Amino acid sequence: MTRVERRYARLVRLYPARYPREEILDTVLQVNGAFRVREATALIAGAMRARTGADVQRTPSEFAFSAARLAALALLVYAAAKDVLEAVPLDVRAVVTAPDGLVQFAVVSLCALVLHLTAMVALSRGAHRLAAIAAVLALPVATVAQWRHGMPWGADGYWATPLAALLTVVLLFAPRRERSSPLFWLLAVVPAIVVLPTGSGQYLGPSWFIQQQMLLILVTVALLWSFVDARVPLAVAAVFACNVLTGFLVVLISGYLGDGAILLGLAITTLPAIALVAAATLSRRRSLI
Amino acid sequence: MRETTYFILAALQDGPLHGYAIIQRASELSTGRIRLATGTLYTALERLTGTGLIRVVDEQIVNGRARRSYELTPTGGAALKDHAEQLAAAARVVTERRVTRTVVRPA
Repeated sequence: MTRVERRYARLVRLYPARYPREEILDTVLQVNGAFRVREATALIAGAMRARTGADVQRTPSEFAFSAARLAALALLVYAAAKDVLEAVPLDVRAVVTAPDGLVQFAVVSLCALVLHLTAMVALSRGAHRLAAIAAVLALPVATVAQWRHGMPWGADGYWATPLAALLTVVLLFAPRRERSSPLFWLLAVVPAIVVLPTGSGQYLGPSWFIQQQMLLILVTVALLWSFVDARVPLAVAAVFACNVLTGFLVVLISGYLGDGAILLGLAITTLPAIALVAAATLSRRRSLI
Repeated sequence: MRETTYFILAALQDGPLHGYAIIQRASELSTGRIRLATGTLYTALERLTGTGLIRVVDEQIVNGRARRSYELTPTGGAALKDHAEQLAAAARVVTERRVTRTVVRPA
């Protein structure tokens, strides 16, 4: 096996087994005598599309439902991460000093976590009805759990629950049930506690710093991923929409606009969501196949 | 139908071809405009097979590797013809344009 052959073979192995790997390698070697970046990029993108299900032919409505499913799963991960933070007594000082109520709120958060995880597993396995029931039931439970901090709709990550509930209800009308392993989504809950704006910075000091950097990385990766799969930036945009809603509601309810700094902050929060939606639209329009 | 998909289907209208031959034929038919990368081709072939527009017709072992040939299905042929007619109709809007001039005479 030549050096060029070995390099292409490594890339072809990225494809799932159902793809004709040997034939792809044979073709790429017939087309190219040397290793070319253009071919390598196309092979990586093709393999990623095959692995993520982006290679499936979808009509505009099928695409919308598939993107809604991914967005709902991402929002459920966000909501579950928020629940973990509220259910686990990380805020030791608050536990010690609080006169009452803290334990009850933690129990309610645990209930919300169970409902969010149920919705997540059900949705990833294609059980849309169970997912919708669990996600809708989680809405009042998560709202009560968030009352611990006062106004729930102004809390970081609160809007993940209502948006996820809305999308799971919409998905009841999906003509096709997509299925995937729930393991990825369940594992994603743990890093989401620190990476997404869950309010973990109050208990875990470095979270403030990590979140700022990671959100930027998340947007960059999602923008790049739009070349492979236009559904992913839409799912990440749904996560950002939660922050936008939180920001707008806080301003609306408090009626305080500040000296322009608050409006600028809102614009900065909105910008990634707009960029992600634009990238997804462009990717869908300019798709080669 | 995207232009790339159109030329992949068009490449198969004269008979079954394997991956490399499809790339070559699509490039010829598009006068070099469509230069398919292998990764792009196989994503397209997978989609087109999934939607029933093409099918695998033959598999041979060449240099120790499997090489499959693809052909248009009747559905694929019909879809290709429909799209070609749409393109031709769109082209006629420009190529068979009648120039009508309204002459405005002074009162």
